[in-house]
Amino acid sequence: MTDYKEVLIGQLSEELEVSRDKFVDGALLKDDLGFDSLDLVDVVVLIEETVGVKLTQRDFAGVKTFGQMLDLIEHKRQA
Amino acid sequence: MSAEGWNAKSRGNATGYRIFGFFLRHFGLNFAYINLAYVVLYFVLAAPAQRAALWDYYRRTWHYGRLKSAWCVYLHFFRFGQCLVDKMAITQGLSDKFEFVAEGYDDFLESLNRGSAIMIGAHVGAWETGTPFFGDYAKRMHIVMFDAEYQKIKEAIHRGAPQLPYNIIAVNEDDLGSILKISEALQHNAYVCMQGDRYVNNGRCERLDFMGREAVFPQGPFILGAKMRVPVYFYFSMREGKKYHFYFYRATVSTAGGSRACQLDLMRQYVSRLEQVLHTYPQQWFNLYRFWSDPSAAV
Repeated sequence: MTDYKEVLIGQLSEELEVSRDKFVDGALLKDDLGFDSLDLVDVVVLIEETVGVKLTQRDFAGVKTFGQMLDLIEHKRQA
Repeated sequence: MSAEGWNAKSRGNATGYRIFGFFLRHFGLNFAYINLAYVVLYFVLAAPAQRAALWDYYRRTWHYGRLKSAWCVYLHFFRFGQCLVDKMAITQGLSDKFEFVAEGYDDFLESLNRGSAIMIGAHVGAWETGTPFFGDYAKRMHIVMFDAEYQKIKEAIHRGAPQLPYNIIAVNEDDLGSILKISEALQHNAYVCMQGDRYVNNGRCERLDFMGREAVFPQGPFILGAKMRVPVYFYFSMREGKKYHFYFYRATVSTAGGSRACQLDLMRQYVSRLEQVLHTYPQQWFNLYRFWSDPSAAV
């Protein structure tokens, strides 16, 4: 997971103007990383471009932390 | 940026809708309008917040005198009621009682035939009156609304109201992923309609000059318009007697200065079109709350 995770964190950090060190597994997308629903549109596009994985609204149900988002990406990559 | 916005609740009375539905079915449209003239008197008295908002609108936006403003407030409530009655009549299959004309529709259809599009409307006139006019295209129409509003519609349908001829995308601020339904719909050749004039507290917003005063607009529809790489149209359906005039204005989406610049540019184009519409139809502005953010003053 490490290869793309670092690239993704770098791009998310730049896009959302959030310090890289805040992207830890337990970080809450909304409260700790300041994501709002409109950011998610960018994030999904970014994930698609960086990792080649397309995430849908259904995939995101129940995803609250950055770690859960990474698990979701990994799961979709392997599917 | 934070400001006081719309509280995401709409005023409505099920009994009132039922009574006017009865009038329409049994006595026709004109009878409903005549009764509306009396009902409106009640609302002018019983809806002080809306009355104050309209008073502010006529006195401070249009700079009308007191007498003219008072008359316009009454007419405004009446026009609002007429649009509601018209919507109800069209839902009940009385669309043949109206005439529909459209501007910019060919270009809009061309975009739809090529794929998807975003339509940004406003709380002016009565956008729903366009659905019979759109024919089969209405099946590809997805209206974005807040989940709370959607629940009300579902309850109404459950109680026997007609099914909607279009689809709903219910968004919920607590559910991060709900916004993705919009991009998914666009990927499936849908056209997605949003209102660009209602800011809800805690959402992202922009303060812009609108009709000579500062007002707060939501950024959401314009951010999506700037990012989704599909044609963006501003759509308004305005009442002219028993005729509805649909306006489809294609927006220029330029990504040259980045998405933030594009979003701001879209917002300015939208505000300019909305001003143009209001100058033609001042009584069809249906944001019946204090829309402008400048401090109150006695008027």
